[in-house]
Amino acid sequence: MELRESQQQFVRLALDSSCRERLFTEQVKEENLFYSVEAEIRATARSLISKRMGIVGNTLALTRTLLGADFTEKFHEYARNSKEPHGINRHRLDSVRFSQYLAREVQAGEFPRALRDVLTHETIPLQMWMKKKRLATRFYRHDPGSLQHLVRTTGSLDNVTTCLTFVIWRESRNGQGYHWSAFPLI
Amino acid sequence: MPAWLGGIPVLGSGLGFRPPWRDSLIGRDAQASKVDFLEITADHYLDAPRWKLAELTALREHFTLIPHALDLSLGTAEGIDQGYLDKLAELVEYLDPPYWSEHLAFTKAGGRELGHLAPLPFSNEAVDVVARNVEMAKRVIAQPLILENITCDLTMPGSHLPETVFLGEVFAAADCGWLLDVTNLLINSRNHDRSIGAFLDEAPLERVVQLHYVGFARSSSGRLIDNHGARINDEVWDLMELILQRASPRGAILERDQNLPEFGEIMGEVGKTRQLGREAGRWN
Repeated sequence: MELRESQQQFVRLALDSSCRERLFTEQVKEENLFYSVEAEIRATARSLISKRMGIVGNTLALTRTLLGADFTEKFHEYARNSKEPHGINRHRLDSVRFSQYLAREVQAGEFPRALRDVLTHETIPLQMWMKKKRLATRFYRHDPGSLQHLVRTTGSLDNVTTCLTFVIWRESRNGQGYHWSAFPLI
Repeated sequence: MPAWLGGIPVLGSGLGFRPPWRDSLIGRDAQASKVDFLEITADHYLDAPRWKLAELTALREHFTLIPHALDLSLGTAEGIDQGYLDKLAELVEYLDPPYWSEHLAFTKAGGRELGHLAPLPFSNEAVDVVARNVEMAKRVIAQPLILENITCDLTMPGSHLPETVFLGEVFAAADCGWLLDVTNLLINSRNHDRSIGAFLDEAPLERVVQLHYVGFARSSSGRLIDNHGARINDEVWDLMELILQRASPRGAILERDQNLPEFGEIMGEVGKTRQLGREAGRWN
């Protein structure tokens, strides 16, 4: 097998659980250049998912705190059912797509509705980066400062109060990223 | 040794830039004077918004910046991504560094991205692939390239050369320097039960331009884990000292990506490297 084919097979084995299960069966042994290093390939596959989840978890830090073990379970579920993103912004895209996945779970009633505002709050800077936007505005159902405080102090949104809030996001001029200001409307 | 290697200036003891240390570095915390140069992760500035590029401009006012790329995938047999290369070339041109760096690895194949550095087989075919891809990169990036040795959890099927021979052939065929990662060398040697002494005796140390070093973790089974998240271990210091005696790097970069400590603690490690390099006569 030439290097081109062996690299393609390595990538498929590392990224696709279905490909791994098929090629590590006795019947197709001769098709699999990596048959003798099955344990290492499986370890690589686990480590790739952990790495992705670690990066997404750092980006969606409030969401991770809030969901705890559910974050890990849902990320694995999401990763199993979607293709890994591509390109320079792939980690940002991964975070945005995972947040969209969680938003659908909120819709299905699996998580509290206030999680949607947390997800919005954590992904707006990513969208601004990718679209090179210097300003973004959103309406939230909850004040983002209160959401942050609740998650950090209680790890829960149980006592959240609804407060329609207008939020303005701006790009900083001094290399400090994105900043937001909240304006409660009620 | 190629003539261009001798023309690379001595840089000293440097640091891999991480945003939490931005204010200390740009604000010139008194301790920042211990940093001779910075390495920036090139990918963080490709296609980046204005504020991120402003960060780069501010850093550039104080330090020589070495761009370190992650995802060019110079080991991919299908060739490299021209779009990524063009963006990288633009960044390198802006920074005008004495050299830039990438990894001796592949990160993509078959139109898919691993998001991780995967090893190459130690083979003649892999030497040719890297040389061909580096040649393509050189068409748009004039500055010299140095390539980093990575950690390998497995030896790729198809390997038929000793690692030291493979490294020598790649550096010669691609005409590039070596970014010798001290910690990666230590981890591979321990995890695969190889002799570091024998490796150093046979490795093309005359190609070393820069060092990387970082702390590692240990698994319950005793394997070393390249987690970029710990203080520099004594074994790394010992190996660094040995390498500084045997090779002539122009600089060394401390990396740290997890459990970032206070700037002062990091400066202690940068300071120690400066001292080791001085004692070995590598820099002032």
